[in-house]
Amino acid sequence: MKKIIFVDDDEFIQQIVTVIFENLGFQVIVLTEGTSLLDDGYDLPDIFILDKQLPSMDGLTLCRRLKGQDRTKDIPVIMISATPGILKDAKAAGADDVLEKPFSVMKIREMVANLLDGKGDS
Amino acid sequence: MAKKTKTVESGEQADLEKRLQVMQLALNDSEKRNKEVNASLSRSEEKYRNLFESMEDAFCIIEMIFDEKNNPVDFRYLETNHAFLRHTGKPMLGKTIREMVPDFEQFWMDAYGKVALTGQPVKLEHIVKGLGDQWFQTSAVRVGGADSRQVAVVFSNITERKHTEERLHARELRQDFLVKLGDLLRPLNNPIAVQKAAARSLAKHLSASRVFYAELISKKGVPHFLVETGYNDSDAPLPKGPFSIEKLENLVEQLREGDIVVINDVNEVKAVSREKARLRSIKVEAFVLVPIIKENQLAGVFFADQVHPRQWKPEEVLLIQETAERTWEAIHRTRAEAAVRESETRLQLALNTGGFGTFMWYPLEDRGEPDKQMLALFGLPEDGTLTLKEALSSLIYEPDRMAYNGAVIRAMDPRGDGKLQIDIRVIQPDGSLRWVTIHAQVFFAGKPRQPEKMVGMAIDITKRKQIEESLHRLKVRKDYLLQLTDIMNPLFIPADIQYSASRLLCEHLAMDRAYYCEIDDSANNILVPNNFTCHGVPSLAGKYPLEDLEWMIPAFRKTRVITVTDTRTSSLIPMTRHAALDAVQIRAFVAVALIKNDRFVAALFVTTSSAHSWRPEEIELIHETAERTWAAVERAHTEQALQRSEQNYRAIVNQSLAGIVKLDLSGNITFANTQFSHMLGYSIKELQKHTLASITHESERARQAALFAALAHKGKSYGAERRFIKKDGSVLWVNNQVAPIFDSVGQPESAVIISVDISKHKAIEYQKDEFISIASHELKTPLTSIKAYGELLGEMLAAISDTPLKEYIRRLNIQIDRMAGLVHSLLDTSRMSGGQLKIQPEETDLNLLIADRIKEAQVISSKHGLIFQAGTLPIILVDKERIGQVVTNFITNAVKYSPEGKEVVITTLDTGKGLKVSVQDFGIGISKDMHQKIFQRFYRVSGEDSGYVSGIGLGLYIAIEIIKKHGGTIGVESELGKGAVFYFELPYETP
Repeated sequence: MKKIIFVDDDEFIQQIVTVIFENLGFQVIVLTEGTSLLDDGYDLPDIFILDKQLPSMDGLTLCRRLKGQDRTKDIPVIMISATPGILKDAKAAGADDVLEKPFSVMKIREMVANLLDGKGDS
Repeated sequence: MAKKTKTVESGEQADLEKRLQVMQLALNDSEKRNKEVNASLSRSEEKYRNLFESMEDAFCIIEMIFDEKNNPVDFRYLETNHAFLRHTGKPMLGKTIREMVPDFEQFWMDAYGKVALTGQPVKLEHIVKGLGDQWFQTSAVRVGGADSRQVAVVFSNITERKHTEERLHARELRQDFLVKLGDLLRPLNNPIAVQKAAARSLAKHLSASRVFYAELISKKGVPHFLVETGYNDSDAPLPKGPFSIEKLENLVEQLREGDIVVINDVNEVKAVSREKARLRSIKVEAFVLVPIIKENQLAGVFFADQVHPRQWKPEEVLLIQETAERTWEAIHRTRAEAAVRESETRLQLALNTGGFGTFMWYPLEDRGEPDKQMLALFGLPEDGTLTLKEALSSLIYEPDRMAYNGAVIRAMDPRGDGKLQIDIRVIQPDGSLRWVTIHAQVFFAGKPRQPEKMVGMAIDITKRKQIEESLHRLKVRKDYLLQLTDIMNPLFIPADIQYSASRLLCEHLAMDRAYYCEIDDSANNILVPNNFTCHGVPSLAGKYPLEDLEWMIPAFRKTRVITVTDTRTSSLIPMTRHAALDAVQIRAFVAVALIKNDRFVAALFVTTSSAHSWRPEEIELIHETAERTWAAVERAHTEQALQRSEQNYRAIVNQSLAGIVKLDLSGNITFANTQFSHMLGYSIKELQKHTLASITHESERARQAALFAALAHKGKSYGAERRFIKKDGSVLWVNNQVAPIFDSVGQPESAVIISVDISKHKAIEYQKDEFISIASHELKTPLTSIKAYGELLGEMLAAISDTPLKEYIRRLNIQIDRMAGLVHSLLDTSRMSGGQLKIQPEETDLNLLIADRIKEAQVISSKHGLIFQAGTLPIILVDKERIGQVVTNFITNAVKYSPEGKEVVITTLDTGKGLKVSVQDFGIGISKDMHQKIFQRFYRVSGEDSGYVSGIGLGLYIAIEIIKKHGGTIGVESELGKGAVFYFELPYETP
């Protein structure tokens, strides 16, 4: 079973993302903030989905840190944001793709599928 | 499709609209204020322009031109009035004086230059040679502040007055000379001395080379001229001794006829052809020969010459003639006197021919033996008697009697020389007075010496005395007028001028009241601002109804001057007014009406509390004073108006809430008002070292420069919102209206900025954008869940066919997407006005991008046929997301505004300069006057036709910002009812 770690501080978005991907047979782990992802003591997911605006450490920094350490650097990251035009910053931070809120269910499914396929191909 | 969709107003949205309204009102208000300032400026200008045009004096404004050492070298006429053209006869507007009058007097240049540099107004009288030696009286005052080089000049042509004065002066000089000559010749007692003195005196006066008197004598039966003496300033001799009259050839006939010979250059005169060589040998090149005719016979000549050719003036010739007459008279008087001393008989003889009265008087018996002429001089019949007693009791004018008696007693004193010489007035039978001069000699006899008899003669000198008197009066009058001019000239306030003139006139004439009144016929008022009174006569200063003068107006129309000797008997004064005139102590008066351009504008009154018979010279003087006072008052009014206009202008500029700045065409600040200085925190002096560019925010300089260049070259005005940099380095948002100032030939010569501080509006706008940004950001979070649940529901129900639930969910999702779109647009907008919109260009196939967007749009608008006509396009670097957004916006609009569901045609084209994308619909269209507005933020087409559609009016605003960021252009071609084509064009390379 594929595993997704989703970090967002909004409870209702946590719920809907969980619903979308559990329906597709993913294991979804939701977090309200992401500093713990930089620790060693957890099982790595197949993909990270991070909100840009997070308490304590923001999504872009978190992404850069994840992509900067060996343990997590090969795991794809999708950055989601309510602010448009962050593509450049997100790519610079190492994000594999960017999604603007509100997103369509179809779009997030496609994005996850593409990244996991790509990883499978490589 | 819904016919009308009402946007749900949330609490937040209502609040937002309220704030927007406030902001709009604030903007409108500032615009209104700008208009008011401009309107009041132009009203004031129009008023004074009318005034200047109606003036009789010439008026102009000139701009002084200085060289690098600040010497005035030229000036240019910026404004002139109608009277200016009349006075100068040449149109000068826009020209410089050096162009028009190359030898223009430096005198004026220096005077105006000084006015421009010091701001001290001047008044001058001087000649302008370049305009045919015309005289001008001029007042000059600087217009504008200390660095203005503009001078307002009011002047009138006084050439005629000057000429009159000159003629008067020449006449006066001549009379003066003759009086002195009389004084000089009178005490002389031999003919040679008379000739010598007269010749010398005239020669000096005329700067003539030679002057002499020649008497016609008979020598051996042939007429000869006898020259006994004369004046000679030349190195050639004076003709001496008798010479034959024939030598004067044909001139003799002329002289015998009594005609004066005037030769300006002997070389050019045929009349003296034979004598020419001889005349030239004694250096006679120009001469005047005056015949002296007595009893119809040529008795002598008077000669004046010059060793160079000379243009003899008529008044010089006249003077020679009068000197000749006086010389002849003096010679004959001395001869008569000599004869008196020689013998009684010869005296009698000589005097009978000379036309003088003679007498013998025996003092012991008081017996007189007057001749006929002596009796006639005293107004007595031929057989009358003349005694000292009679003379002293009734014949001599009373005031002269004592002096005459004293002179007789002195002459009869045996210790003295026995001479009597006195001028007295003799009463004629008709009551008139005759001036007589008496010369007499007392003869003594016996031991001890006793006066035996007195022999004397009398000459009528009434004419001479009259001339002397009139000369005296002329001089008094001239002195008075000079004094009047001197008093009025330095005065600038009309009431002061009126008072000073009244006072001088009143004191000069020894009257007790004088006043100048102004007629205001629009208010039906007579205004006496001031009056001069003395001897306890009450003041008449104040305001009166015009009816008070009504009874005088017909008389004024007829004569302009009303003279009343005694108010109680004058037929001019209605009985009803007697009491009123008595109350203010007016018994006699002169009133002079000043009627200008057929309007009764003012009057000058001189009054006195006792009856007075006005002499013609008094009336003339009052008239003259009235005219001069009027001229001076008008001048002062004009100057005051000028100053007031200047003050008004200054007040408007300085009290304006807007900053006002004047720039030269290079953008240097030449003037700033107080408000602008406050806005930027610089002093006005500091600002004058700045340029428009140096106070403008760096990022706006290039655009500013382009607009200002268009203004400088084409006179194009513009308005712009700008960030200025204050002295402390902070930013000030302003709204600038920039307009050119044109010179007299319509070329821009400087520029004016009306600058309004809009920092408060900008702060409100910023807050509003912040608010929108936060609000829309916060809206997105719940919207994300709603949208996702909606889509999930839709998927789940897709499997169940034919249930209304499925349709409801579809509709729900469409509305959620619409809402997501609106929130998105709001956020975009606030970011754009904050300058945060960033373009992230990627290599793009525009046709592919557009095809995608068409596909998406077609899903929503199944009613319309979306037709894509793709041209061949190169790959281009653009922000895919943003350009896609513009395409979608165009298509959505096309669908929205063609509700009948027709075709929408999307075309792409490589134009050679870039790539052009057009979206054409066949819907309701847009009228031409709307084309600009539809690209404005929050603008929505209003009116009946827009009832169809919803939206918040941001789409096109966002589109224009996106295309601008790409360096492209955007536009619309449309007419009402004929559909529309929206297009944008992107350059191959985005800047």
